[in-house]
Amino acid sequence: MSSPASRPVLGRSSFGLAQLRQRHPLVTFLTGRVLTMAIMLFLLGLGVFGLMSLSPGDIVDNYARSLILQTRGFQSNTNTLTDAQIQEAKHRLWLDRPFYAQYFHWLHQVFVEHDLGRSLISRAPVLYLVGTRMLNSIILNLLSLVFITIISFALGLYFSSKAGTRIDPVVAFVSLFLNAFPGILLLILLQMFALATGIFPVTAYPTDNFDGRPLGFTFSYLYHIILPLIGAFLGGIGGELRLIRATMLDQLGQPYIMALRSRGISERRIYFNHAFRNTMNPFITSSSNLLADLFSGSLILEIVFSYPGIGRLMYEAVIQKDINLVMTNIMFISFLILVGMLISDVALALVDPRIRYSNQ
Amino acid sequence: MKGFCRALRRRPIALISFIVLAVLYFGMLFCEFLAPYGPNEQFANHSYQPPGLQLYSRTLGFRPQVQTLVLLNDITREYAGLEGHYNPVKLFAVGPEAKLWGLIPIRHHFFGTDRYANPQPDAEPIFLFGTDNLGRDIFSRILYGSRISLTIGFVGVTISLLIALLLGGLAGYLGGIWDWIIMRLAEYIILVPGLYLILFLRSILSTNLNSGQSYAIITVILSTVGWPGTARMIRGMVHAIKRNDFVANAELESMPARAILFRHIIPQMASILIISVTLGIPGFILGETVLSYLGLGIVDPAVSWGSMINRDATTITNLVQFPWVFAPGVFLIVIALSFNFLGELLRDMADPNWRERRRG
Repeated sequence: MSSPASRPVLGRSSFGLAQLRQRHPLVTFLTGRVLTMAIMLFLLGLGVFGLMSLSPGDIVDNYARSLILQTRGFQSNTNTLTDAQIQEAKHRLWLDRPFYAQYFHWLHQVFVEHDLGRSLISRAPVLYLVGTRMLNSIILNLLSLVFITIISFALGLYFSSKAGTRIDPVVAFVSLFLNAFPGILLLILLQMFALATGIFPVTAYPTDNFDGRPLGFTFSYLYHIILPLIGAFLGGIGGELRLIRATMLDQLGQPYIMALRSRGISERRIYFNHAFRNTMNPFITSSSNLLADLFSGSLILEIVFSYPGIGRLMYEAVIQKDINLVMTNIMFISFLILVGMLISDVALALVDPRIRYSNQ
Repeated sequence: MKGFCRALRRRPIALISFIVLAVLYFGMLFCEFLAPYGPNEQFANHSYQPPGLQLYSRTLGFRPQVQTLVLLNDITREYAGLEGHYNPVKLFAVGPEAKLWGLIPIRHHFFGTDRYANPQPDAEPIFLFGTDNLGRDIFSRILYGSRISLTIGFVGVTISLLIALLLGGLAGYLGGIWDWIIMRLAEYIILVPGLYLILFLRSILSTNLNSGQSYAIITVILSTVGWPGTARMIRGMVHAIKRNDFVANAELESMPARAILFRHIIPQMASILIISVTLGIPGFILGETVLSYLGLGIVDPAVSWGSMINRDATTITNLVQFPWVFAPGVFLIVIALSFNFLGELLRDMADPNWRERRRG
């Protein structure tokens, strides 16, 4: 291990055996990371409960207030709860105890009883709610990610070969423009376009459901999803294209490319086998959040296009303090972020021999 | 500075951005004088009125003027122009009373019609960008709103950069256990999905705030979410600079660590810091927009571009029917693009190799 200073505490806290670290660098590295991960997740949950308890009012108060506001026509309002009822509900939901007690109660419920609980608002099981919404988000994100990655790689490779030509500044300008364009306004403009021309539907989800006519639903779904896809695509392609183009140009300026050219290696081989391979490095580092992004949905896109994804569900859950829903989702997403970081570290070592050997 | 001017002249798009930014910030400084009306001044029977400036009519010939409009339909907001009724637009016209910077009372505004002058109190007011649903002048509101929208970027970036410099610098310079603690803290904040953290904090603090308080809170929240990324970058750079001889020299002269860090190491990063400020500002401006769009940002009577978009541009049918309510959105797009183009220029200046490579 050539850089022991970079993670001294990790090693000590997990094993404390320099020998073991020397012999199995990957195993100790992974164990250390997983342990830190568990501690971080534990603290994160504590933080979420702390934040929730800091804010005034809780879900029972909100519910009681919404009942009072719900008058039935001109009849007298009978929908009020008594103080005793409110206290009883708070007690049942553990809301009258300090936040760490609530947190341990939640941990007990999840890890001992294997139950993620029910949404406090809709009374549906959290797993069901999150599952259905997450599926929608994954479909949308997966499609846009695939498009963005493939097309930005293709365009980045192609235009890096055109550096110095007349089209070069145009590409640089367009990619910077797309990268800098405010995403939320792009979505609003797209929706305006859809409403003004009538080519695309304004909302992103079909009105009928899958069970009735599966084929029709699928087509209708694809038709509805085109506009949000375009939005996500335009929002993401600029940055990715710039990254790939810049690293490609960076690599092509290195001496080893000149050495390859002087040996008469074909330009094609230089591009794909040498320069492109090194372009993967910053791409992998920058995509450590890919896994989490895939599952977390995009709040603004889902709100603008009223798409039933996980982002909107979470937004509503946070606003209404639906703690079971919030905890399940935040823990899951944070877990994915950490796993993504881990995978990208390992993938970097797999792709780049320099990193692999420097660790041994 | 000289190099900056030369680089500006060589790249017209950055020059345009620079001029646009200068004009907008100038407008922000003198908004009471430049805006013809106050931000909350309502004109009865003028809601959703289209932009009215004309340069030619048969009655008055070639000069800026406004035709008197009559409301035809209260529901669809159709207006019709009265033939022959034109009101000249004058420079330094008498307008509603305002206080420049809240101190100096002024009666004359940069431009306006004779509405507030003695002879013609029923003259048509001038609406450069039309009016919103309450009959308020959108142009004036944009000018007043820039007080919040244009400063929030600077204030936010300054706060987050100070935190990042302090923590990132300490982590990089001291290393060891401090490095570990600070970087875990940064990761912890990165873990909580940014938007959810914002939602949490905002819902905690959103109970009945005045505009100054919510401005401060939004800035603090956005900086809290924003500093970890910058801190990681700064830590990496301090790590690299620390190995230089001049740092070793300073250490041998037994300078205090604080002085070495802030007098010797951090000045080395000045150009990078300027760039990250320039590129960070639009992020904060759009952060405010997103918060306002979700209804968690600035609320009436205070006005920002984000709150204007939230009020007027979220109903998509409104937006298609009265497209001029999107004017603050156009300003946001222009601001975001300008800062990005300028930041790109600064980056190219700071890294000459990068420019060489692009040419080659």
